[in-house]
Amino acid sequence: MRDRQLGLLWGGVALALVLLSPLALRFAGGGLPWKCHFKSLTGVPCPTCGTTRAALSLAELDPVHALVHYPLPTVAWILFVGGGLAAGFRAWRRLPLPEIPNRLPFWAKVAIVGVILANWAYSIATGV
Amino acid sequence: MSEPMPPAPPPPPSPYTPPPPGGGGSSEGPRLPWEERDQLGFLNALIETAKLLVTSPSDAFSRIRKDEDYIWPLAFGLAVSWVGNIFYQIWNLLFGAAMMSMMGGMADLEQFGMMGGTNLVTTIISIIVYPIFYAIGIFISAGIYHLCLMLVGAVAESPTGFEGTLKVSAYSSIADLANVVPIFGIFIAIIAKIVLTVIGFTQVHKTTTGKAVAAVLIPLAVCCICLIIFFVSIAGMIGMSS
Repeated sequence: MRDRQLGLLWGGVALALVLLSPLALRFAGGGLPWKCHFKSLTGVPCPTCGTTRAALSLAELDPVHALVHYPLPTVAWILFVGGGLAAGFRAWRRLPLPEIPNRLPFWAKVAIVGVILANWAYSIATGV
Repeated sequence: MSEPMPPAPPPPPSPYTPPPPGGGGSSEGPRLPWEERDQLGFLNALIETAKLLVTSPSDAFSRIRKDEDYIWPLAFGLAVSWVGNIFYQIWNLLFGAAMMSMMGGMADLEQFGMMGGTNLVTTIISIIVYPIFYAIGIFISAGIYHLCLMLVGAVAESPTGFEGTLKVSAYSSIADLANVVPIFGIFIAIIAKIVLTVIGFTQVHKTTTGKAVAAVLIPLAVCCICLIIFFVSIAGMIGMSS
């Protein structure tokens, strides 16, 4: 079956992230163990500020807080972990997996860049 | 009329077998020694592949084939990266405090956990759990790279697709061996990994160097602006203190 190994590996990685999330919460405690150096120097959050905090909010089973404060990282985490679990399950059941595309239509490229920039603007506006 | 000259002896065989025209994706041509470990033996194949990646990365990456084998390239990456990580942790344990005192004023650097603030227990734990974080990291980085490759149109004609991206990410982990160099090894490793990744993408996706460079630098620019500034700050502080 096409790329069954990939589905199982991705599923394993996603499962590891889910299982490790309580440890991450314990490790992070009251806050992150590091600062964003870009924000420290410029006062402005970097384009990916909030990625770790989004993961921690999801680990706390608080997706609403994660989505409100860090929308793009939250969606990315959900897609990565959810997609991995789904791919792993399908591979385990020997069901066909969708092929990873090599081409993106122009509108999709514009949309991806636009979403990243919009998320950055939102982070700056809300002071993430 | 003179006697006809005897034919010249054939040139000695070269240890390097050139890859077939077209590069990655073809089922013909030489393969990476790691992919022939059944014949070469595990350790020999590991060492030969590492040598090839260091001395002739372009040749090494051109030998990557689409064969739907993800586990063994990841195993190679993990093996070499783990060795590098062990050295990194040891240097961090030995020199972390010295680095911190050298950088005096930047107390918040300690919070990055990259220097200082470590002990034997955390070092051992870091080494033990490293494979889990390596697997997570390689999947995330390969996913981000593949998205960027699609954005710049570098994989439109790729014979290997995401498999090629993941394999390049895994084999580029050879750069982590630079961590055997104390203190500055991590900087060498980062630069070497960028260079290897660019070469790898150029070969396995049959794309231009410009597109490969763009695909590798986009995540660095977007995701790691803070990291770049962090490393530039460290370099600046080292320069000022020396």
